[in-house]
Amino acid sequence: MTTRDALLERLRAGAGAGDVALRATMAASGDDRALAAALVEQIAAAAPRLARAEPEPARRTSGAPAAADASFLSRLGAGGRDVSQIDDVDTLFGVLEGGSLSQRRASARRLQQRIESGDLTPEELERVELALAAPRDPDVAWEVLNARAELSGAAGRDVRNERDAFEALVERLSASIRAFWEEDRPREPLSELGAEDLATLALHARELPDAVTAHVAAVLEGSDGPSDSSARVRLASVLRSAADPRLVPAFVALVTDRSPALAREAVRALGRTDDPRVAPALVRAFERSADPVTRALAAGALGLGGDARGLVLLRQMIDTGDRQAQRAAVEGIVEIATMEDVDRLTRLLSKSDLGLVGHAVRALGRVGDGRAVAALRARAAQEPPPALAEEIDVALRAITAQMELRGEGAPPADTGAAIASAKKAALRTTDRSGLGTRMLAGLEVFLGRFWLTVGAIDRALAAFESAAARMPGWALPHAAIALAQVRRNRPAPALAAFRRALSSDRRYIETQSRVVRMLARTFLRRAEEMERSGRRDVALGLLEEVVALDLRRVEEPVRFEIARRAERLRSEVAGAEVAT
Amino acid sequence: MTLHLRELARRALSERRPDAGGDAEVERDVLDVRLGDRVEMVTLSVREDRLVVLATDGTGTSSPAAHAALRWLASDLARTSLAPDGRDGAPQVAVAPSAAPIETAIADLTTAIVRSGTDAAETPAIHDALARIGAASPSLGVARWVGRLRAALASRDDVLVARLLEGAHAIEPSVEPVRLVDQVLVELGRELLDGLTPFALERRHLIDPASGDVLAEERLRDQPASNGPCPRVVHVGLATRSAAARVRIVQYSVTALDAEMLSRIEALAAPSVAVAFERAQSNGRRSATHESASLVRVRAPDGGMVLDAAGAAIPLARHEDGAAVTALLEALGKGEPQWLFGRWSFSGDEASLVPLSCCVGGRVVRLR
Repeated sequence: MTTRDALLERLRAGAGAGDVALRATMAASGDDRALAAALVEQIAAAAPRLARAEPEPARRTSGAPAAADASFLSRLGAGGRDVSQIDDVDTLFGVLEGGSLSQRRASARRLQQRIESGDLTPEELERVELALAAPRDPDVAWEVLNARAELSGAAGRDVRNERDAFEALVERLSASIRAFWEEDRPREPLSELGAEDLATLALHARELPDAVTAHVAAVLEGSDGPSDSSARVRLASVLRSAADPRLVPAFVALVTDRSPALAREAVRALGRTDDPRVAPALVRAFERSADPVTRALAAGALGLGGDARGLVLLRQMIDTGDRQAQRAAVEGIVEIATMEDVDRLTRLLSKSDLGLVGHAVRALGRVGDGRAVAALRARAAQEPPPALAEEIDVALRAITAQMELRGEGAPPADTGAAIASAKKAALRTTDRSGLGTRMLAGLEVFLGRFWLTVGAIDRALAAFESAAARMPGWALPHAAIALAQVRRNRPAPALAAFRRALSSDRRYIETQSRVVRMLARTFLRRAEEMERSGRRDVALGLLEEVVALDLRRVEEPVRFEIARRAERLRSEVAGAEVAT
Repeated sequence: MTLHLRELARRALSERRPDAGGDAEVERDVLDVRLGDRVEMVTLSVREDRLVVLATDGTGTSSPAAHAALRWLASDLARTSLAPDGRDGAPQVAVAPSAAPIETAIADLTTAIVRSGTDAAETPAIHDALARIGAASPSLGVARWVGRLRAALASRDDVLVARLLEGAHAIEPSVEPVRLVDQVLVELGRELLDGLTPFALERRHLIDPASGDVLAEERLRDQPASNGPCPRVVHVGLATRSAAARVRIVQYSVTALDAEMLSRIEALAAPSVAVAFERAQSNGRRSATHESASLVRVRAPDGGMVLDAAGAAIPLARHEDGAAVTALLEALGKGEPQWLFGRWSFSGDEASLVPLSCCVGGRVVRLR
């Protein structure tokens, strides 16, 4: 051990009065203060040197969340296929409606590439035009606009005219900003813009000149002079979907601002921005913020990037939080809710707080579980305000898109009064862990089996659904629903039920010979149907999903056929990509 | 002094409402005790109904300072004098004023840290000494120094703790600030830093395009400073510059960074990180105390490394801001890299750069 190492060891362990040996080593005289000063001086005497540079690991740039399950949609861009390799426009439309934020953006960019390539048929072009006509998702509006700009005819012309208006606005604004700083104009230029101009600015934020963006950041940070806190909150709110990485330093600074309103808006904006600096700021906000609303929003913003660490907290806040916290938690859970949350979210649809209901509707749309369709349709039938009616429409379309991409087909037109009323009765139960609840759920499964034996499948399904709603984490009723649907020769809803059973208890399902055999056959049959209808991506997704399971209890011929068909589809899809 | 302190306290108490304290109870007392020409700090607290005494000249009641503090605390308030009566053989002591000069507070802190060792958590003595330092000097430099020391203690970076303590008296050199008149400064970086509390300070890094000197304008987040975006060109009418390279801008106007100014900035960049480090070290071994920033010419990254113009890999402070490092690599990959502007960060005996901004294809990209 060198003398310096020994001194460092003493600094770590502590040195004090009567430390004769240390005094002797350092030739220090006087009191403890002199000894302490001499110790730090000797340690600090060595000149610092340049550190050795280490290579930086590459960041996963897709920003796609880690796959929640093995379905085609869940693995898209997260270990599965890359959206940029998909040619089928129907699949791209489905992803644009029902994918995660990064998948939706990637889908819009891919559609733009497909239009630019000029190899779409007139019929496909017409459908693309229709699909991009009315973007209703502000987080993907810019990508959709760029894709539309590539269209010929009136659709593309509209966007190009809009862009001209934006460029004129930028020219005007740039001159005002220059005058504000150089000529000391008293009014901050952004505060003089009308709502429409601000919306245009936010939509095209990523195209703004650097000088304008730097000015926007200065206003957000409070470095412009005239703007007060409310003006900054307003601007941050307008820029919620801007997704401009150049604004990340300003928003990161706001996350630690004393004003909770600014921190909340900053967290919302950061969650929608694909940038490596976002996650650490959001983690800090989630773990250290004293404001529960900011924490809830940070949990949701992390979820947008695929980090679901806040899911448990959000569920707790929804179940037990006060009104403000509950609203923030529902907003937060939109992108990370799972099938387990469907009942929790469905219960909120009857609330009087329309903001909260809107978030719950969006969350149900993102989960994409067909069980929410009946409740959403029922809410739509109550003649809600137009904005909420539109939210419900978007959510229903997102659910349909996801079900189709998962091979589950479109949701049923009517889920049946018996099922709905049984679920309603079950939802009245508040204690989901008590012995009474477990016994009731067990009794319902027993009843369901009895109805199944006598051929009353609707009643059996109602009993199983009720048991599943009582105990959401119990795989058995979901498996029973799946088997009942198979018996009815309805593979699409059976798939959805099998998936819910797997997400509840995969190991249990894999060890139930009858269930896993029926599951494998259903996936195979559905993949065959999807392939026949030209949806090879979805068919391959289904087969890859089932291949990932433990199929040792499945009959040899079925296993062999699944593997053979998956291999063939894989090579066909890969061949198509190479050709592209 | 003891008598004076008591008298002042009595006077202050008489000016308050008798019930102004509510149910509040004193649980801990920190006293500065003068012993001859030095001041020791004694902390008295109650833990599970037992009195705990910690003193900076020893660990318990055996220390003369602790003895004096106990006698002072236990004495009858009605007594007119607390001067030692000589019967207990205690030294001649008196309680010193709490606001000791910063040098004394820093020396006390150094002693407290060395006594308890950096492996120990932030002891009451360290906590109180840090609070006294903050109270003794309201300067932002001191606040930042406290923030850095706390971070170094928390990360068990013993070398940095020693460097910061050793260089502490250089934080705020007692030299009159210099007036700057009609000068141009260019802001190239802006960041939030820990001070007495996390993210308490905002620092703007400004470079003088004439000399290449890098200055820092600092503010507490709720205090005003010069307005303007980052990056910007600041045309300074009047400012003051301290010996610690801190600048206070009083009169100024702001313009955007144009191509001509960018080329002047580029010309100032060091050709290699080694040269930049050497320049930053010009403050001698106390360079760790001052967080200087440097401008380095760069070329396209290779193998996940940021390279200077000479082809050497630049060490980057992932331990301080890994996300900024990743953002830098991504930015440099999007065009022709020109320069990197970063603040030196120390970890143990090693220095690396925290990226603040970079210039790629004629555009300045802010990284923090």
